[in-house]
Amino acid sequence: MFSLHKIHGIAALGDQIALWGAKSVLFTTLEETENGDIRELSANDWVVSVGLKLGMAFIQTAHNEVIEFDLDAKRVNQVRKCSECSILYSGQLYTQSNLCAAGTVLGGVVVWDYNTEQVKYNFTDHEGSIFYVQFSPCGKFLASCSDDRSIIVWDLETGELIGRGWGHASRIWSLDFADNGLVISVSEDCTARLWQANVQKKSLETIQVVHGHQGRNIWCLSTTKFEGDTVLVTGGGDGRIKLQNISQPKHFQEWSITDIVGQPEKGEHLKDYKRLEDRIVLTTSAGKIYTHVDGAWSRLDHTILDEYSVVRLVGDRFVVAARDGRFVVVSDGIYQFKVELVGKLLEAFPVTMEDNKPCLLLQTENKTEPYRIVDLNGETLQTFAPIQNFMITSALYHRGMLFVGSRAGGVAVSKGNEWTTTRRIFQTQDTITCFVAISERVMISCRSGHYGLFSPDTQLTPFYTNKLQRGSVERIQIQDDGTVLFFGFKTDKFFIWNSTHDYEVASEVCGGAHRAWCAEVNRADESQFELYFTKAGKLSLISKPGNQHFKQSILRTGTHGREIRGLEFSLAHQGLLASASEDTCVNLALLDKNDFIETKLSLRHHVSGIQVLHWSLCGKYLLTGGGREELIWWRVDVHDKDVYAMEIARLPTVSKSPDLRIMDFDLVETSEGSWILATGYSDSTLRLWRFENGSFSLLVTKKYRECCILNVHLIDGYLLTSATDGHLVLWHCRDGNIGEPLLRHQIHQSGVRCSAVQLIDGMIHHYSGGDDNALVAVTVNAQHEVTEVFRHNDAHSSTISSMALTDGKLYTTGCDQKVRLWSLEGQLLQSLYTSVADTGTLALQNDKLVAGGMGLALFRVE
Amino acid sequence: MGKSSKDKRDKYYRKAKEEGWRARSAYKLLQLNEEFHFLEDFSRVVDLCAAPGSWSQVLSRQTQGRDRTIVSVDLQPMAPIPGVTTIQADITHPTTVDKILSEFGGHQADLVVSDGAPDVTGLHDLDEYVQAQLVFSALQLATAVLRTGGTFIAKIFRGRDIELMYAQLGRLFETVTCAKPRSSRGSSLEAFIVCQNYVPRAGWDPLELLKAKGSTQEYFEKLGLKEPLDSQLQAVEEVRVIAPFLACGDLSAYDSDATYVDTTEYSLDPVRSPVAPPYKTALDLKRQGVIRR
Repeated sequence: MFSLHKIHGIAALGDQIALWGAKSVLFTTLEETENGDIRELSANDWVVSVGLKLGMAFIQTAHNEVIEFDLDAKRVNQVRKCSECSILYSGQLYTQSNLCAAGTVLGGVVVWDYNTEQVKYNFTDHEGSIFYVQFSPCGKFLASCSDDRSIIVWDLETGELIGRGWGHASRIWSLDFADNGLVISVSEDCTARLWQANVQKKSLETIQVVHGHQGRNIWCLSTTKFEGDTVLVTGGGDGRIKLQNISQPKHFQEWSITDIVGQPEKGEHLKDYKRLEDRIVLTTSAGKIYTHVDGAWSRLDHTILDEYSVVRLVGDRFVVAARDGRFVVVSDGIYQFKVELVGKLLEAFPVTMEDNKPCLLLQTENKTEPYRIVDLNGETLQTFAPIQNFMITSALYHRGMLFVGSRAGGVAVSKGNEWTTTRRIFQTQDTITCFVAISERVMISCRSGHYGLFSPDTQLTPFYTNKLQRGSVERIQIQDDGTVLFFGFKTDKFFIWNSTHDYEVASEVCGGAHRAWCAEVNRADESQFELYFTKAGKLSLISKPGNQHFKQSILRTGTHGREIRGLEFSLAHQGLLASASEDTCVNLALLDKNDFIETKLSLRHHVSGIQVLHWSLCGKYLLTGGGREELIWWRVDVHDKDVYAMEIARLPTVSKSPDLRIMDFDLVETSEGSWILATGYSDSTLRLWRFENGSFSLLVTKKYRECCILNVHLIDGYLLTSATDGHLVLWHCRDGNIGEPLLRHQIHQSGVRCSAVQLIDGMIHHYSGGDDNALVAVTVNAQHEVTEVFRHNDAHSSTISSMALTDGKLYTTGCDQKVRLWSLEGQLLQSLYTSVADTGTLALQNDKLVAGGMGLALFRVE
Repeated sequence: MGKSSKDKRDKYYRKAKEEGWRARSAYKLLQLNEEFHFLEDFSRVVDLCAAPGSWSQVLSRQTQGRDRTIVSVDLQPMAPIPGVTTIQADITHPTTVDKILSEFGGHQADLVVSDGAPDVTGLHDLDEYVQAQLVFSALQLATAVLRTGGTFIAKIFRGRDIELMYAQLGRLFETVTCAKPRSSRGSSLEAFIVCQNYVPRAGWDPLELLKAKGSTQEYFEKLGLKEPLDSQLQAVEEVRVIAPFLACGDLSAYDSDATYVDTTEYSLDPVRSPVAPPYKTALDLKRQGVIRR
């Protein structure tokens, strides 16, 4: 919409829409926008807010002036100002009563009448810059937030403070009033909070905390009414737009043992339960079975099982299993069967056999007794030899194979009657909790939070593994649209996690993991769920009705939560783009035919910010490096439209310093099929490694002065480095050794931020961009002599942060947010502007150029 | 500066504490001086946005034994520094200029410096705008107190609109240089604008203009440095100029981007406790467990 500026705000009145950002404003309607009929105007100063009133617009600037603009005559009528002219961080207009609220950089909130130019209030209770002010829809109240991390609601009729709220862990960026009287805030701490005023205590109290974005910062919000519900929309630093129905009433219910059984026996307590559709089946320690239908509990069957009877859902039936091999099957009717077991039944796992036949896998306490699969008539269909010291905790029957996981993290697969050797598939000894078949893969989860996709065969070849930082993964559920949900626990909370899009769907306090529980989540609406759990001897239920209004809660997927530092297209797959960011994530995305960058996979193995990323020439491997000396070697596969990545190896850390960063690296494949990797560190060291058979060996360490290495290239038996000292250094690099510097030549005044090399007729051509705005090209000949080809001291007006060299063309970008194209002779061919700030990386494939920084921008190049 | 593990992370941070500077930014002024030599002969200097006071310390220490007047201005209270007069005031307020000039006995200043920075939000365009406004506030004051031929130094963010500022400053000073001391991290947008040889706008009396009140924006409009608002909100032509870049400080000086091997066994107490941040109450509530995620 704007030629240079970002859009910082939107206001609407009827058909009329106002957009503003930096010094620009524009007035339009949806119809005009579709016709492309828009006209950018300039307020000649930073625009803080715009208010609309019939035929008029009021533009509030950062110097606390209000420009009265006649929308029909397209003329400025007047410029209004009051006695306070401090710089503003925020402002808002309430045009119905000609009021203007101004949030200053010095902690004051000034409310003034822009018709009379009189100051009505100057609220000074906040400390630090006022980041947002918001009038209530009725105009009677004003909410403000500041650098002090509190929110205040003011009464504009009396000037009194109604309530003040604390709770955000970082700064608060924006506020809104919801129509149900709540105030909503969004913050740098990546949460949204709903607040209710407590007039007596003059406080605002948090009634809900909403998650849903990645990285840092939720910047903006809005609410709308939809069929009686209030829907919250938030926009984050991750570029995501997220919807949330905040009217969903949460329902709580509790039943004591007396509520369920009437007269409990001595010491009788709840044992196990499951819910299916509108029915609950529950067992007690007295071996009795109860059911809950139509709001009432009743004894289901007069059978008395034993103390440890468990309830399982098998297909669309409940099965109550007792230790002596008795089973009670509950569906429309009820019946029993018995399986003759040698030992006492330990566990029964639902499995689905061929023809969708619902069955159970049984394990007993007898260590020599075979595992068996029985159908729901008690008929044994198949037996399996028991595995030594293997306590089954999860099972899946898939494609004629049985997959089992153990309490100690082991997994075994059986085809026929033979087991594969048991092995740990994650680096943990924690319980394997769940197996789920997903198209051509098997997904496996672990209580430690690990999960992964594996080949559905006896090999269990991993395609992708990851770890959920949020807590344990107890169960995996696949939604109707293919979205993967995890259910798990973290400290005293149960949570539902959307693993496909990385956000928390719900989090409920239940007391922690060690208890009986079951959760039912609607497969078409993840926000509709029922959670049952035992707490203090009672059966508790928390349920939410779901949002009902929208199918997808993410309107736009977005990218990274912080600055993107590395960006590169794979040479093997068209449109496969890898990005790495300060938010510690590596993302793999595919470009669709409309040039939309769709993130397919977000890898969270790094614990520190990532600085650099490169693909191997073959395009099969991706390497990412950054803080804490982390460097990860990934294998990446693309099948149809799915992308898989596996961590194959990790570079050993050498230093004890947690601040040591890998700034750059380069990789070459040797003729023997091994790889040579050169790494440059922030403490001025250079290291050379050999990568062979999945592991790294250190070949040599070299120390270069005292600065921060910024660029590393392996080329033609040489190592070329440049650093914050502005010098280009050439080293002999053969036979796994780095020799002494062959030359050291100053090319920039200070840091060499980016460089590119190519070999032409035995001559090294080196291009570099620096902190000093300069773009420099030099050649290094066989005698190690440097010749300057060209130098542009003002190639950019700020630091040149990245370059891409291809097909005889050079692209550069810098902190001035320009993207420039140069010939290799140093001719400026083209200059473009990008709205992506902190631009620090470029990727190029065919006619597509992508610039990364605070977000991504894609250009088509000719 | 606090007593933290940052000692290990940043050589300048540790060194500042060892040498008694209130902030590591002291080295930025020292390294700027290595190239521009503005500390060698001045009689009167104004340090704006001075708290916690490391630049005032440099100005005071580097000129000891000489006849000079140093005035520091900040909205925040600042602990006293020998040989420095501190004024707690808003730099945009007209009376502040009077106070400074009366400290100088009616004479004008040789040098005005400002190391002020706003609360950085992470929205780059907004941060750069607010930083630019801070520079213009400092410049507004400088135009009223600086002698012809004087020097003005201020912190800038080298973002996308920095060329506009170079162009505007170029109309008040003969030489404008963008300088980056080695103690300022290469990974940050921070740099310093060094403006030499002040040439007051002919026919304008800055003191009179200041007393007329109004915003910094209006001040520079009247000074002819900024275009006034167009009545139809048409964008005005903006002149862009690239100022020459100069890296300051010896190449053998410590590198602020590098990781140094830590050889220190103990951490040092800060020279001065840091100024209480606006979110101090929020931190206290978090410590007391009142605020929970």
